[in-house]
Amino acid sequence: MKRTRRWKRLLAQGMAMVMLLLALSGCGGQGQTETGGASADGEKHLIMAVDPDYETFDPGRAYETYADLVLHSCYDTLLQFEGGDVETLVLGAAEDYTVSEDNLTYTFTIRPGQKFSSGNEVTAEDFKWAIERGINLQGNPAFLADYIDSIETDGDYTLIFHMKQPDASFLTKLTYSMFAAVDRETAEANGATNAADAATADTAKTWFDYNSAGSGPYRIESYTPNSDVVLVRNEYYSGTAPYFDKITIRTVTDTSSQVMTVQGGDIDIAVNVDVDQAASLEGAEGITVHHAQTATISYLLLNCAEEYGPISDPKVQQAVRYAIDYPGVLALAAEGSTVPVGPFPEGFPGSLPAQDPTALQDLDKAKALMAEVGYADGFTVELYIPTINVLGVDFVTLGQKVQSDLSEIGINVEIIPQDSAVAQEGYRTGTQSMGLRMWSPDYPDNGAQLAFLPGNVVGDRANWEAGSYPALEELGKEAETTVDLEARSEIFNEIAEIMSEESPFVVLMQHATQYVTRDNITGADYSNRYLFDLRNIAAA
Amino acid sequence: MNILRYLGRRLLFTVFLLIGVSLMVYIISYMVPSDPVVANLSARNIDNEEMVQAYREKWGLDEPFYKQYLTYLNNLLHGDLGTSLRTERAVLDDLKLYFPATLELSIFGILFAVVFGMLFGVISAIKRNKAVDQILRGVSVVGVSVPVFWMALLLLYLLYLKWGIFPGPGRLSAYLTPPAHVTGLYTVDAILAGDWAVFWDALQHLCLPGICVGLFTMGLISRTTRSSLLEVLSLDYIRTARAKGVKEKAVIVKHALGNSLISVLTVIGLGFGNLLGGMVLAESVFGWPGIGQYAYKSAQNLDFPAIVGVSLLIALNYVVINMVVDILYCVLDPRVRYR
Amino acid sequence: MKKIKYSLRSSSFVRMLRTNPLFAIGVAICAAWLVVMVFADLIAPCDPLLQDMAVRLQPPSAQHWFGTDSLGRDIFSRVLVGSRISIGAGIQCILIAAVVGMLIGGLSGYVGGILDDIIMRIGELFTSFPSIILAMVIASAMGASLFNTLLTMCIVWWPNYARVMRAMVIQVKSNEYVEASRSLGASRLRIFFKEILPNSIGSIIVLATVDFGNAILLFASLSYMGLGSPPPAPEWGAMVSNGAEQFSYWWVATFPGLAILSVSLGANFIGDGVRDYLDPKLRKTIS
Repeated sequence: MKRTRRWKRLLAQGMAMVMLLLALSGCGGQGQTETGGASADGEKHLIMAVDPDYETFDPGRAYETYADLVLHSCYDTLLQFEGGDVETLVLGAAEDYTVSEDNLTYTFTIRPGQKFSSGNEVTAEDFKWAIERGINLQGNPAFLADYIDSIETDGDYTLIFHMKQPDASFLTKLTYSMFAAVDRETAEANGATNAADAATADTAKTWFDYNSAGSGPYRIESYTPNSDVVLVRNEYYSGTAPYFDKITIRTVTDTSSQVMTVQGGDIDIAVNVDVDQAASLEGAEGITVHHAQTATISYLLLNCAEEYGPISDPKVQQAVRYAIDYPGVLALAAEGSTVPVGPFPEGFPGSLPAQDPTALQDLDKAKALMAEVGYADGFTVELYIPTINVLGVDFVTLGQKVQSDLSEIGINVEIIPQDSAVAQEGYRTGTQSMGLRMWSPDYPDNGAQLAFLPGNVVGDRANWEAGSYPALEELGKEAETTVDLEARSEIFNEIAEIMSEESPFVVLMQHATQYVTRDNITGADYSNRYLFDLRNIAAA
Repeated sequence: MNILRYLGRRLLFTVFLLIGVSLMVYIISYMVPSDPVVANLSARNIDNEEMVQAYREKWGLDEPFYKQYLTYLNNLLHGDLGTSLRTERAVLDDLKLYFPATLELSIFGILFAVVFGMLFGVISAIKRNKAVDQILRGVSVVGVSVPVFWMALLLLYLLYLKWGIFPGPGRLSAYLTPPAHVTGLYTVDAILAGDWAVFWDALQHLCLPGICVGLFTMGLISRTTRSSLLEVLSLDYIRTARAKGVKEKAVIVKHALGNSLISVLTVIGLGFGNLLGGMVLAESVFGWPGIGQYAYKSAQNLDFPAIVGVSLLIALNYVVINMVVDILYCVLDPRVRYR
Repeated sequence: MKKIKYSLRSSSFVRMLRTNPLFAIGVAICAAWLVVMVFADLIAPCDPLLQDMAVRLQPPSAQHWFGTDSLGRDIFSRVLVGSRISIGAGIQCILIAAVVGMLIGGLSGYVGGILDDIIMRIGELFTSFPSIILAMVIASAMGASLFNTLLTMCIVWWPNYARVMRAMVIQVKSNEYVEASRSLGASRLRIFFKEILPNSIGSIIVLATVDFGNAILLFASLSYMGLGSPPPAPEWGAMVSNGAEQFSYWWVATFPGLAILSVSLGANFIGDGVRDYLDPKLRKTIS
């Protein structure tokens, strides 16, 4: 008996210790640092949580959405956007610019007296060198410079671009870090080169990942992959100094965790918030849930090559468009998501307003179209889906919604989920009979969406070859070179109307996004260009 | 000279294992219909034949299969694991970056498994066939039966979101700055830096994922402890000890437990392999920036240099752990000789 | 590792049911799931694939016992019908791996020498390689499908059976009656199939029983990672994964997870019972 009792006591002690441990860790030090305002030593510190996609902070190589958070803070471009506005370009490093009559020559005057974080002065040569480096690196953003013929400097403060052909989106493209001034001296000392063989000869990527050499208001103090990027003031910055002394961009992959820490006051901005989380947070004290429209669209790609069967028939493609239950699709996405006209996002300069989702489905018409081309009994088609989550929308779930909708008009969809890299290959080679895809415009201008036209980058993926819709292609060419905004938007509207009726692309939605900030933060406006313009954020 | 012969054999096997594992991944990479170029070049550069060619040359993707592999082996001999196609960093650097997180978590998981596994096992054995025994055996079977990913979600939902007892995913709360990098293990680094707030926070963050990755091994250990303890307790020398009036607690702790440690050790060796498998799942649920996440992302991008790197690291771990277990065997039980 | 070398008899099965409550529970759970697998279509109240956006993400109710998922499908029906894929895959994996492992292990043990060494080292190679990572690579490269997933599972699973089979073969090979039949002029193949195989099958079956829970778990894990049958097939692991994205709707992930847990628990209870029964020393201590 005695023996048993001793064991019981031991067991009880063990249990108690476990409980104690649990309790202790529960109320354990919720140490608080001062964020969003002055801390004890007066340092103003902004902390944000993101689930980032960046692989590099080399301004000549980076092209990921989240990289701009860092790059736009550290590098000045000639022109830039401010806050959440992506319609009005403002002067950045340039104090003035002129465009020639034929739209083939751009002359920029650079404001004297600007300095890199090394203390060196910014000259036209730094711009020329950096842009040439970007072109020769042949990295992801290099295509932005496709229409540039040559770059010339005239003295220290004049930079001249000679174009191969007029490019209506050129000024917008200039907001990319590839066109930012880079401190040539520092960069070259760390292995950078603008030579023609830069793609192989340039060894500065690693250095640029952990350091910056720009003339923006901040510089990279440290970068720990998977943990955080810390930005501190560039003490040589000559413009209006931003509010915060220090910005920490912390990697927090889990969305619930991001939200919890904002609620607890540990961080100031949580960027990745789930659809249902946002709903549950409305009205919570001390924090604000923001909704914003993005320019990201999700669409169905229908292959136009005959070998892919009935789906290549234009009538069938129209039927697919009429078969989708758009309100049901939008129910899967963030509040504020819409169905744009064609692939042209609402909110871009000159775009048409979004469509009424309840008026788009017409099953009778869809069935009639199917019958018209002899597929009244339907057919089977494969739908390739990358296993990704786009702004809170799980693509595999979205694909199953499409599958169910199309079964209404007799189309039997077989879903093939693929890792995004593998799906990318099927897309690239144009071998997907049907694909669920997402598209983020390369720059906030409808010009970027011309990729969807026949024979262009996306059109090709659907085997919508050049020459299959001459009238449309003609309009596209006109749009690309028309610089006058009003004339341009008229052309774009015409294109949009055509594409929303006849095209191998069924645009399912333009995504909205949601993010949470603490109430003591202002200026955290979602930007379709930079995600957030960190220069603009301040304490309330 | 037994130990030398043993080490020699193990070393030989290690070499075989490393060659085998890397060869296997290389064969897979050769057989797959998908093209790593597409996965890692931007949409526009893919249309540019020149770029694609340059890329293939840069990564040696245009060489015949055997040549690629021999080059790789040669580099491996010089301690060069190649460069990741995705991150464009040296694979070795990437591994150094991600491995400490996994190491810290697996150590914690194993500790949890050993402590609770043995505790449950001992209690079970002493109370055999009583209610406590049945319950604890039930718990240990649940431990080996529960899907790691589901358990992880459940723990997160209840203990973090609902009740707020434990912190959420990640290695450290967002408002804290990781300690200066020495070992890469946050808890150890925090102690070295004398930063107790960070240490405590990191420790808390280890709890839930640690339980998840350790549960399976805990179940195995508790089961083994119970049965081997029962076996030992029935042996003659224990009966003798009892007859001599040695106290029951002493009998169990001094005589029986020491002996059953040997079989527990085997299980730990086996469990470690399983632990690493569960790690991939637990890391994905807990957003733990470790080798599992790295492997997952690499696999998605068909980043074969990285995949080979991870595979080699894991195989090496397997060898080392088994070696340590073997050596501990001999320490614990002098009758066992190095095979 | 302990060698398992006793076969089961039906009379001992009944006795285990009576003396080992956990074993009995395991048998009950597995039997219940077998019934569900066979009659899933009849039991399920709804079409597991039917979507209804009007009732998406509804909590459990009288109409939808386990609630509905993000596409408004009835989770209860999906869990029931999903048993066919999720349990079926476990059974198939074990069967194939056992057959392949037996053949390879048998050959290895029977022939011996260098071949034996090579085969066993290769087996160890696969064991040292975490199955999940191998599966991820294979699935990324070849695409997710039930076939690819089963293939991967078998690739990592056969060495267990090969090892047991090999040990058995070596043991049996030295038995007198095998030598006797050899001296009587029986061919090697004949000896293998007539003498060695029947003698080894018992322990293989036992190993398979003990292993079944693990196979269910591995398949669920792979399906959680996005491998396995393509959607909309109701696969348990995939359903949990779907629910993981909707944290506040706890029922989406909870019920399929419970289903996985119950099957693997049942299988492990049975496996444990069998193991205890076969461990003669332990049996002596217990009784």
